[in-house]
Amino acid sequence: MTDVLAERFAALNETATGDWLDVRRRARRASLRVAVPVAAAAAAFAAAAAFAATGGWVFSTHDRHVTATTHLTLAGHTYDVSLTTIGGRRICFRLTAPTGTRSACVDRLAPSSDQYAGLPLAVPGGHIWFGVTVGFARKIAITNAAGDTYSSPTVAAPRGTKTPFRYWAIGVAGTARSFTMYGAGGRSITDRIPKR
Amino acid sequence: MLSLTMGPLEQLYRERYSGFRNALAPVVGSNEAAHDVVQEAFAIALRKRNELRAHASLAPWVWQIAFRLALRERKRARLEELPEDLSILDPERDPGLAAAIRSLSPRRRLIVFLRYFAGFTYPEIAAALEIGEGTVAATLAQAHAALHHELQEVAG
Repeated sequence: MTDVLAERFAALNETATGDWLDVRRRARRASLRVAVPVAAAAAAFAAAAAFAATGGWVFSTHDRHVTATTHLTLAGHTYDVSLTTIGGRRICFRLTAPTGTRSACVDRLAPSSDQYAGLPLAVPGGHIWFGVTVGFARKIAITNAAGDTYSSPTVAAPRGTKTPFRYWAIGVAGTARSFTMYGAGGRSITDRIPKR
Repeated sequence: MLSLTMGPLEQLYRERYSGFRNALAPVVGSNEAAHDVVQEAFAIALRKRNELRAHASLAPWVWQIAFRLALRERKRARLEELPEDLSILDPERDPGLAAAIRSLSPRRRLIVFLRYFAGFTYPEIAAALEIGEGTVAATLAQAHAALHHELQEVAG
């Protein structure tokens, strides 16, 4: 009988993955109930987008969209990189090169950890890596197969911008082999990047 | 791409998110409201994780937070504390089971949901509801018997 019950409940169980980044974002807020009217008020004033620049990035906000834009040079080519986070979960990216533009939106740069998410796009001579972090990471360093290390600070959006993320982008020659996050206090976490 | 070692709370979330949501949905009336409750409960747990006693089990602790939030949602909607109509969300998907569930007391229904939606062990149910494991075992045995009887009648 127990197994029959388990089977019948299992048939009703709807599986979903949830959204851990959203949990972390909520944890940063004092109260969801207080924040909801604030968000509503922010939306009401969203007709005019706000712009600000910090750390080589230009940020613009509109409603729940936060767009961070910067440019990188790799192997003599210059790329415009744009990351748009939407309400703490959906992330859109765009890479503009002289040869054209590539863009996509994903619900998560999966599989993401509770600390960061990142994505490489192959370009002539290497890869443009970009993504977001939450938590302690203040610098990202990527080492390639030749042992060369490329790093970039993670950049927070200007004060008052409603996003839990810090943004980063790095041009890496060749293929990346390891990824390290550094905290402000010197703490670091290194992860090997599996061969593709 | 890359992933770091997950903390225990994140691991619990990733393993049990669906179970928590499915078990809370009958309490708050929809999967969407249940999602919001689960998200907020884990956010509170994340903020207060240092308050968890060393010997306490994580899942029951988060469940207690989530269930309190769910009851608060009901109160806001001017509904009674533990709903008499607590049942599976879409009864038409398994009318027999829905009818069998309705034959149980709300308290027993909750224990059944914790067991079969949230995947709680007997000790976790006991901790979540602050009752003895023997009570959980006895209640589930009674619930199984009652459901068995009801399901046979429906089938017959």
